[in-house]
Amino acid sequence: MKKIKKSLLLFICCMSALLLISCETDNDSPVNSGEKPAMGRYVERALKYPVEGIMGVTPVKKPDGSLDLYLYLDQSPGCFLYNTKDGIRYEKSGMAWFSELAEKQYSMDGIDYNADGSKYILAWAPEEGSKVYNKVYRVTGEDSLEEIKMEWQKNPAGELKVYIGKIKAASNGDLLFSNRGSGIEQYSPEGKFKNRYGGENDERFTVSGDSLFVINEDSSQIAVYDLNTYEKKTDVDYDNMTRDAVLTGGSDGSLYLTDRTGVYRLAEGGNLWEKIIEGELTSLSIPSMYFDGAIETEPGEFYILYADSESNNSIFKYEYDENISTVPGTELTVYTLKENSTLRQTAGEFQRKNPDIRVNITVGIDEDSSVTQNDAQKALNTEIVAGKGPDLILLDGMNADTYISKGVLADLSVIVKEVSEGGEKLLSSVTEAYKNESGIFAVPVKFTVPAMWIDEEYAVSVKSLKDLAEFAKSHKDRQIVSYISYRDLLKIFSLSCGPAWFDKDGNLDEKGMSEFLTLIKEIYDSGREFAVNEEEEHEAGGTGSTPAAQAVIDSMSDSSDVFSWAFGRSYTCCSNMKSYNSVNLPSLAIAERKGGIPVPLPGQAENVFIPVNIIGINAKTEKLDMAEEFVKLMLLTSVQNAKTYDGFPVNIKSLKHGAEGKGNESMYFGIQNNYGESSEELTGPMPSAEELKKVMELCLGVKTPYVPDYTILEMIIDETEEYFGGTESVEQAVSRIREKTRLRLSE
Amino acid sequence: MVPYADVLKRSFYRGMSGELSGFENYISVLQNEAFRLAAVNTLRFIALCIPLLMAFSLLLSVLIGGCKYGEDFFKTTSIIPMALPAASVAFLWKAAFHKNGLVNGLLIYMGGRPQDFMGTELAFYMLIICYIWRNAGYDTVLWSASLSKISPNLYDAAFVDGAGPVRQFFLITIPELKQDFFIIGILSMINSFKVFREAYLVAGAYPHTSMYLIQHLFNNWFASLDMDKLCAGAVMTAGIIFFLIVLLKKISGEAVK
Repeated sequence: MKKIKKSLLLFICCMSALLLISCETDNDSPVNSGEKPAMGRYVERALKYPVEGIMGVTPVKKPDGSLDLYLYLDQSPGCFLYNTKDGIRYEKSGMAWFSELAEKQYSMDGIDYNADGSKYILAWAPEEGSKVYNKVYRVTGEDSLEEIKMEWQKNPAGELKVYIGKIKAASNGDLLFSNRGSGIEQYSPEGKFKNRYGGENDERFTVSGDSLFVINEDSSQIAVYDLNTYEKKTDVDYDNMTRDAVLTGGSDGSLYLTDRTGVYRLAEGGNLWEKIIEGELTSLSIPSMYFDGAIETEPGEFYILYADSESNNSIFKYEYDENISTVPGTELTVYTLKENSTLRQTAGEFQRKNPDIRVNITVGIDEDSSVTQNDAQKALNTEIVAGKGPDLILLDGMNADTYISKGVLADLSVIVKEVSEGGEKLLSSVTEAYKNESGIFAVPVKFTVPAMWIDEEYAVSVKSLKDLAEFAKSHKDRQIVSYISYRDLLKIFSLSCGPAWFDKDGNLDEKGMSEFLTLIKEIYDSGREFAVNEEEEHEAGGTGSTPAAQAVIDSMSDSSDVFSWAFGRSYTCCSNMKSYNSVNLPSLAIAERKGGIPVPLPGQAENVFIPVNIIGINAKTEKLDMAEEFVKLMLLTSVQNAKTYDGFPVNIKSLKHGAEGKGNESMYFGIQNNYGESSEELTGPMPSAEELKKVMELCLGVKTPYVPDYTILEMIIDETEEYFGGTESVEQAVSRIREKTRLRLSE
Repeated sequence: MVPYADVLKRSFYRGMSGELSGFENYISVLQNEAFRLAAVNTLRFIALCIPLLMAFSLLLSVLIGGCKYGEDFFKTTSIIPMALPAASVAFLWKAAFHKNGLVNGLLIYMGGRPQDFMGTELAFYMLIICYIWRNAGYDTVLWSASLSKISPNLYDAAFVDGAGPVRQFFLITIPELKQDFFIIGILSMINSFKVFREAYLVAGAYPHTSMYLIQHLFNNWFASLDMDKLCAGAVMTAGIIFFLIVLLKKISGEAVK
């Protein structure tokens, strides 16, 4: 009996211990545990430039620790110099030398100061018949220019070509240039050639102390060279370096690396990076803002200059504050299946307004991981079922209706109403895409528009898929839409026909499907003879996380379709327009072929749009106010105006703002395409305001939401091979599709 | 037991809202066409596969046991399929049975017509072949261990009495192995559930209806947060498996008697 009692007691003890261990919460942060949190972090502060209307800025640190800002303005002489010691007070300085440069009709490509404050100017000074496009000047004590006679060297191909991207003055007085096609070149202050470093295309470099730091071509390492012995000292690794990474020299020979994730410091002679500014807590993580490297003026004081695609320039100061916690005590968690620019944009803006709240974005599928969408979604569902779900969920790639019907999401009607009544009108056809009798439980903050570019004379008669099929039958001299196989047509027109395939209960509408297949076959047959490469059809490959059908739809508005339309091989060009940027290529095609307008993609449903960036709040969140503020911010112009190229804004003010084409002025671009053995080229300016306005009107007219179901689409493609091959009737094809989809719909 | 109790509890509640629903979830699951199809397919798979696997692996173990040389080599190589990662097996499967795969290539070479192995009823039999290929080695090793426990004297005595190899197999080997029948049967059944990994990797969440198993359905229900149906379905499935185990034990026990 004693033995039994002892065993029982031991068992109870073990179970109690097990329960205690398993019941321990994960609230192990110092804030929750009552421990004193780690203190101190760099805090971002927005500064004001001394003048408005700046088109560009070149910052240079002076030897006294103050900052010289060369501001480019649309007024003579074009550039003005201001000096600041604190970022608040500015002092304007004279720069007679700049007028001298302007008189020669040269422009300033770069400027740097050496250790004693001497100024070296890199000028864009092309001369006829020469491939030496640059000159280098020293600013004399009289504030005038003195040209340095440079011993330019031939590039590795044996050609004397000088096309410099950047100038840096080293502490020993030497000058370093990144010469495109030659690498980094070192010259004495008198212009004597000393050495050449790095690969031919290495352009990202900086100097600090006696060292030269060069990011190699594939952004995998930073090579460190000794500027006195010209020897390579070492290679420093930096994980996940991107093209955004910018190097700047710091005090005491240290190096700073700035990228979207933050600012990192490498001590002289060291190889370990120390993160000093957290990107997620600053504007660095905002995707619409492009930055220069962090400039250290005084120890513990940095400036970072930003610009956006609309040429809005801003400057921020970063100062260490030891009185605030290293990591904000409150965290707002946001889940997204894939990396999302609008979400990053909102998180950055939210962070600016709420420096004490950290927005933690969890990305379910990393670009490099092998996690499938299904796996990621199951992991999320596990958290939701366990009551530990994120505060906000970006529902792109997931079935939003499932989360709504299961009561996972909170009602957002009040937020949508507040924003609409607050003077920022929203496109209700989009924001109410997920509205039901109980409220709005998910809000798309952006949308894309399936569209067709067609001649105005034909546009009147082509309103639906039926019209397009009729048009195809009467215009057999070329393809209606550029396609290689019937699969392309199914994928393209699924966007405008998908809503007609299923009834309200989710059952297959056999009549709708039958009509779709019949019309697509008519279009297919009418232009089949032009699809010369059908046997060699190149399927856009899906990845572990992206089905092949989705890959094709994502790549719609592929330039080859635009070239087909531009050069008369097809009557139309289809695209799923994701932003005003989607107008760029068709705009060039319109100029080439002298005509064309955008119309909604003809289909079985009218004016279809695809909701994207669909945000929902977890109904069980304990941070409802914060989550609501986040959603509100997503709908306001501060986020909606940003050019993140992932959809049109639902905020009408932002939609109109985008149609103004700010930043497009005087921008030209060109694109080439190989067709057969010849080459085609489209060049010209960015789309006109008139073209953008037409697209805006298209956006304002959207009314039918459709979220592509790629699983169903893949099933349809698989089951119609025989039908399009002519060995099966449409009834047989529909019957096969019904059988195939029955299982999914019956679950 | 706590997770099981939680699943049992959830099977009587409505989804995420937590409202009591009684037997509503069970009725809904039983009326669900996909569940009925998946349950029938799974039971058919178990009913066909387990006897086939056990018989085939027993035969293999007897043949390997009778080898004068290389017994260890055959045992080791036969277990290799089980050691292969599911992703590799799926890749092999796709390469072999795809419309343009090796098997069809061979069929065309021999003058036959290519078959759609994954898009027709053949898919179910492909699944059976995959299961048996993957698990036969493991069961062979188990049977070999059981065979090694049989005293050689019994065979010697039978030989002296004039019994040939076939009679020895049925009169000595089979009766002596009855005790291990239950445990090998259970292990084979457990391994039969693992075939879902390959089926999923090859044909995705919605394969041909003939190879749509109960795990496909549960997987899809979990993805769509149908927790109520998932729990009710899981409770019923657990009940059926328990019944099968009891049945197997009973058969095994009676056989031993």
